[in-house]
Amino acid sequence: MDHFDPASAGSAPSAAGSAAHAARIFDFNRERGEIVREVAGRVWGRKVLAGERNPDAALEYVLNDVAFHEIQRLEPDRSDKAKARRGAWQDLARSLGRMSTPEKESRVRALIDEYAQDIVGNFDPRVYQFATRVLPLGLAALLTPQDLRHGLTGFGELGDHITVQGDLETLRALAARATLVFTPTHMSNLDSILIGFALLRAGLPPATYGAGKNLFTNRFISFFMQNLGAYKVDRRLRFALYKDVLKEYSSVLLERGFHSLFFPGGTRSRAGEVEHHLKLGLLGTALAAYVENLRAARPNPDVFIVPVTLNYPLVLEAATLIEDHFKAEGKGRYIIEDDEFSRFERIVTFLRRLLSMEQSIVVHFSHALDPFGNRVGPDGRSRDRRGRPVDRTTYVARWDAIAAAAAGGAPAGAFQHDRARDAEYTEELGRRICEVFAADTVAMSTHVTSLCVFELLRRRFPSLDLYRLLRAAGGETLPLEEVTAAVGRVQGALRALADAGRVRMSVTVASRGPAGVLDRALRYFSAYHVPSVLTREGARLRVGDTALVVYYRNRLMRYGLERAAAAAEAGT
Amino acid sequence: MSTNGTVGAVGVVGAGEWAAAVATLAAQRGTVLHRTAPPGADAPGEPSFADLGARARLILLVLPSAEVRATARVLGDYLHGGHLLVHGTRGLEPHSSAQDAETGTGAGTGDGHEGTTENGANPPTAAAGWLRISEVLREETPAVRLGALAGPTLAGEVKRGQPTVAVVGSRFPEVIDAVREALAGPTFRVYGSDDLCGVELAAALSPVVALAAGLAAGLGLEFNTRAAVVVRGFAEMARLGASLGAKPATFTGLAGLGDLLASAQSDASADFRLGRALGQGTPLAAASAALQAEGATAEGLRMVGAVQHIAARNRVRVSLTDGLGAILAGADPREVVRGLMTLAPMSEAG
Repeated sequence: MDHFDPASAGSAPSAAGSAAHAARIFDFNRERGEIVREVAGRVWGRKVLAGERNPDAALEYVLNDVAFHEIQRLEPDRSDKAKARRGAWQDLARSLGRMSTPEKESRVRALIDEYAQDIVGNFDPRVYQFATRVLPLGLAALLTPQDLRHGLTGFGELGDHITVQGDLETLRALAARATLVFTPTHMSNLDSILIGFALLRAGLPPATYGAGKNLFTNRFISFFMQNLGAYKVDRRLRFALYKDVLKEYSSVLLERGFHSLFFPGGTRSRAGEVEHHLKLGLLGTALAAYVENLRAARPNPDVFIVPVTLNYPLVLEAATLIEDHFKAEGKGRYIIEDDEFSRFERIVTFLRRLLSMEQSIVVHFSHALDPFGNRVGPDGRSRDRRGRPVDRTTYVARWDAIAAAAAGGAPAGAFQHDRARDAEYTEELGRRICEVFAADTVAMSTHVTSLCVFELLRRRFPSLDLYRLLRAAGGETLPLEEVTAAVGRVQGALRALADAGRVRMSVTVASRGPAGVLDRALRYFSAYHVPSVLTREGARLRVGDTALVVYYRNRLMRYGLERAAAAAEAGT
Repeated sequence: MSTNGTVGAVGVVGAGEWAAAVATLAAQRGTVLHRTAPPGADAPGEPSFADLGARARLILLVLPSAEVRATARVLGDYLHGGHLLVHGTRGLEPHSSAQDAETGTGAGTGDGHEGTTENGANPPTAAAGWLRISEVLREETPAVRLGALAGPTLAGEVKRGQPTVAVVGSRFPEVIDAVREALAGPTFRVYGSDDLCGVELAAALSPVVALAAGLAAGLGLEFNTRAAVVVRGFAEMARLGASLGAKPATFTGLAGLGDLLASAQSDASADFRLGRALGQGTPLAAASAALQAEGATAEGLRMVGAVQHIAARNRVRVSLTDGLGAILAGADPREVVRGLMTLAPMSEAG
């Protein structure tokens, strides 16, 4: 079966292959042109309507906004090409007042078409087959070359190092009856590859996703991304027209049943924290698509959101990311093109070392949410926080239509878009996703150890702020005994949180004693970071890189574990 | 006009004077379903919770903070996503799952990051150990479109038709519209605010200042002192509110300063009355019992501990509330006043 079959709704594909083949994305190329036309048509229609309703939204202002932002963007680029493009935008801005209406219409339509063509993805089933069958073999062989002597055993070997968990059976069932939006946490550029692998491993269908255009600069990576459903997101383009096209593209894909994937944090977490503030633009398209599906009375209108936590004990780009975080204090470079991800040999070295230890990475698929933040059960029904079933259509239906439906029918126009209401629903959804991210984050040995070391350092230098502490603490040593005791206290506190469903623990943190956790963390750190983040020196622990201690500690910074880490008397 | 149809019947839940005043206002504009009986109690002639859910799109819960959760839990069985739920409670609820010393968690000493999320997992009040009433409603019902009604709204004056101005805090414009449609009239004007958090916090914190002002009056302290209590109390409220994510401007509006100007000088305020009785030497238990007999609730009593707890966690100075807490714990009020007057010199803005 090469296409989605509404009749299969409710069945739960049990094998990876069948779920993947149930995915609408295999139809993508056939619908590609139609999708682009639909996106462009809708954006154009909205612009015309907005201009009619509000003079400030007239086409002249749309063009002016694009020109203003493009001139600003191109300003620092001294190349001839950039100069020429900047000049063209300046000419356009100057001539706006003299342009006729048909000229303005033509320019706006051309821009919409250009952006839609630039964004649109591609899906080549042959590349997908190659990627899913051959690449894991190659990757596994690359990572564990000794296995070549025993023959290639496929991605099962890779799977030994990557744990994919969650209520996968329910998600597979939901994937067959609704459109899923996967929303992973974002730590590394490797996330796109990891989540692709995890979907396959979980027996979930492949998803189309928006990837930063900067990632397409690597030809090897670009080839696969181009052909596996990724669409391009040019984060440099900050003007409304581009964002409108991007959001409309996402909405149309969801309406057509293409499972999608967004990184709702927008970019990699610079500080190493679990995302607590989300970019809601693309996320809002889940609700827009749902309402549109209801309005059009489509047979499978549901759009469900599936948060995913990607949990690494080590992060490839940790050093660059935390440096960027500290340098710019939150105003970091939005797009980093010269980090560890740009060096292929660095990626290979990182993965080899990371995956030399068992169960290194954990991908946790959380339970599905409806666009209003309610949990969706295996039966596809939404449930409120008390577990009561709730009819999710009532959130977007007119009150009189709800009453009419209770009496046996639903009048036309029952479902309506409402910009203010829907923006707030999406805020609510964002809050729920953040809650789920926190609860399904897996605390790992490197996080726990870093938290303990940081808090002990802070106790040693109580008068220093974070930035002074960063400078002062490099090279400091702490008694191993003290750190081990702190790790034990944090493990205790984490167990209490985990029992309350507020965090998860890695196998190591859950099952090993404090010395074992510390030992594992030191092995991880010494395997990749140079100089090592922390080094054992006899009965003491030397701090090699305070910034990375902060980076790994930040993963656990919103759980209120500081007291347990710092003070014996606060322990359990 | 909202996009979701007309308000239709309006539901009011609550037995207090303020609930009765709200029901009276709603009755002047249309059909009102008023339930005074708590869940499980017989309510002859009153709508059931099922009736409320079926017939009222907008439901106003006008209850003491201690009763909200139990009521919302039962009402929630009859609600769905189409309902608009607005409360008129001046208080917060202790957060049972708050991190505490028992688990070795909480009271972080981080870099000012804890509890400062925008759409994050740990809302600031919850992180500080207390829930706003809208957070309780979100936990107990499927309703998402929530709001809070607050302001200088002494119930007796509202019922007597005195011109009164209130504010509805909600992130959903249609909730504000619906409350206006349901309650606004020649004697009751409704402003809107998108700062739900701020409106709730201002309404929750002002009873503490009203209690302190009543206490000052009961002690026989005169206008200079009482003005100082109100102004410094207001400063504490605003600082604490800002630390919990409220917009400062909301505190200078109807829900904050507006509420205080009424409740901190009027015997119509239960908190002021309780404070006055305490200042006059009535033991706390007797003063509370007298209020209870009137069917009134002084939220300030519960909120003193909340303010002290949150302030300690968020490192906000609340000298006046600390003094009030000491008096409630048995300290001599005159000694407490003397202590406050001899605090180290500080800037007014500090």
